[in-house]
Amino acid sequence: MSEEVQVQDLVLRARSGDVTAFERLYRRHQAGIYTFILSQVRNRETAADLTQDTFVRAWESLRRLREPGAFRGWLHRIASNLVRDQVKSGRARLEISQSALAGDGDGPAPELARQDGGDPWDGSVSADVRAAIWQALDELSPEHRAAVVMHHMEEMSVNEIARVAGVRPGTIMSRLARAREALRKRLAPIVEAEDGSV
Amino acid sequence: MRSSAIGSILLAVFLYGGSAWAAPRAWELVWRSETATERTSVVGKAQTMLAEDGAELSATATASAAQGKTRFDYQTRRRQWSLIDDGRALIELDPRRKRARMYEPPRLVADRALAERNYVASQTGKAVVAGRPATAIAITPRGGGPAVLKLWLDQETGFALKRERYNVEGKLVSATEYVEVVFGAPVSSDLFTVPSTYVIAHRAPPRDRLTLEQLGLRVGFHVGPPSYLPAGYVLVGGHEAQWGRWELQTAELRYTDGIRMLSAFERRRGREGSERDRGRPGTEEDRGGRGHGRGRRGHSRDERGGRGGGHGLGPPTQETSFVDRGYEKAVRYFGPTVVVIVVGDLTQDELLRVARSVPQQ
Amino acid sequence: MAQCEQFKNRLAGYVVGALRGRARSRVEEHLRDCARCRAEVAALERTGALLAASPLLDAPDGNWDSISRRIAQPARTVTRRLRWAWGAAASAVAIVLIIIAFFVASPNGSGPTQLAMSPPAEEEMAAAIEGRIPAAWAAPLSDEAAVGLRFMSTEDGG
Repeated sequence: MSEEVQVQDLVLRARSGDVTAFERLYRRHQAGIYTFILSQVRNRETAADLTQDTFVRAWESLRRLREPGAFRGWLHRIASNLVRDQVKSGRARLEISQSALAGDGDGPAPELARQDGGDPWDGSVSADVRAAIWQALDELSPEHRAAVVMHHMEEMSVNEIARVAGVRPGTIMSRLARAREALRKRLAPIVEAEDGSV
Repeated sequence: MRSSAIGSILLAVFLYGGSAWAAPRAWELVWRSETATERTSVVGKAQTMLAEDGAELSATATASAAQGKTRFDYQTRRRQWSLIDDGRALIELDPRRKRARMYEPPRLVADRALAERNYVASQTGKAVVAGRPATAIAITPRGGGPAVLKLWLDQETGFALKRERYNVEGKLVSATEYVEVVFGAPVSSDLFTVPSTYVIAHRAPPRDRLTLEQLGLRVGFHVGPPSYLPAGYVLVGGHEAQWGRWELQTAELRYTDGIRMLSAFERRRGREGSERDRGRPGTEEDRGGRGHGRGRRGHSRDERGGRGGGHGLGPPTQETSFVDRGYEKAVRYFGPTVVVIVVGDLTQDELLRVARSVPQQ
Repeated sequence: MAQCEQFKNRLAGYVVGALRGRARSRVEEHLRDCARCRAEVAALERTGALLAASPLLDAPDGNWDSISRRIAQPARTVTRRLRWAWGAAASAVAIVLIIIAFFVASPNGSGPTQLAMSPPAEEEMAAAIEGRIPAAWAAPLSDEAAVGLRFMSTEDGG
């Protein structure tokens, strides 16, 4: 089965109460949603909570999802709304911790495997670069940041992103373009490395 | 007979004439200022400032008041919003999104006797504010200490043209000063209603003032009041507190000393010691270099231990924490069975003393 | 060279695929002749690649367990079973019994609230502080105008 058909199948099963199917949907989408939320609220605890809330709410309103194929976008919509409520209530006024985001720490790196035994991280991006990327992302506006995370990291299409954000695809394109310019400037030292190493 | 009658009349004239030695009591002026907008309408512009977390929030507000209702329209560089007090509800307007939020604050009955018992009001002189002659009044704690409130009251209407509020440590935490003011101008009552084009986005339910027994039934555990309270505070009532998405039934006990408000929140302990409760980077208890692992996938170290169980990789999580907002402080204290949060304009020590004096079950 | 000024602003749009038709071909034409803009396009593309190579972060390990617990509420299950067994009339009685049972059981710490997570310190205290704002407004002798500043949210959500 193709990826999309698999997801649709899981959604249909979850809709009729199959928790195992929902768990598999969770495993597939948790990193995307968590990263997306984290890029907005900039705090791991809050992002973890909101990720939970997103999936709980998704479970509760699964019946209202008309197109099982649009599950990922729909999940992002839920996450987006929760982030917006969080920010408005003023409770998201927590300081960003740069080192926390980039995974720097005082201790040695633990060996952590992904839950579903997926492909091990291949070390293509060093910790310093990741830190620089997140720092640069943080300087973007929330809308630009969201578009970048969804497009580049989660590999969502412009149309999908447009539906999540509730704007025209052209608006997403221009956000991506503006963000790309800003990030290119901000990451210049890395991007301009002659030998192309990252 | 007649001379003594004339003498009484003269005495009465002196007393009501407000000459120096028979001036109205400062407290009377203070209470009169609280009801000024019931007697006259007010339209004006005020500069207002709040010191919060070491930074200053400030804005210019357009004020309108009539028949005891008030409205402030705020303008900062980045934002615009309005607040309406129509006597029943507090309404927040977002003009950009055309949304209104309504709150129904429990109206603390202004227990004037309590304020007068705990504080001293004295006239400290005269000044000109917004081009009008005003009487300056300072309100200080009866037991000594810096002033909590300074008011400049318009001599003609009694309206507070300027206010300064100080915290228990004597630091200025808020100030509002009118730079322009007009009394008696017509004020439309539409100003104090939600415009019909707005959507009411959020409505906080009315907060009942409950007795301790009623509160105990609502939250499902016996709510014991703190046995220690700073001097002068009395219990106003209890409320169920709303923590939003946290499903923790919490009781709030509210106290006042006539001017300052103190809250003690109680709840039973939740699932402590899980990874979520290990605090965030930057809170008091975990600044001790716990750090986050240099996880390749960005996991933090302490999350590896899984949930449940109090034995994590970090220091104990049930430590007392403090927050200082300037105008008030808060403490969170973990007792063996009850978690207590105390919020108010008190010193840290006093907050903690109150928290610790809540009976554990 | 002078032309670069015009094209500079369009390169990012070109790279993300926002340009179509003639606008796109004009940029491509310019790129054929202009090494500087070509280098800039390369830098923009490398930025994109960098972002794409940045891995997603995983939610903490215990998250699924919390979710599965929340979506499988015990109370609801009990009610459903009773409903099937006892019929509509008796289910009302059953629900009342359950509610009473919670009140009786709670002091011993066995109600569902005992399983709820404890919020992080700053969040819980912030919630406590902010919950008092309407009361702070209504308190005697409060500086309403200044209390109103507390309604200003930290982010310029507008």
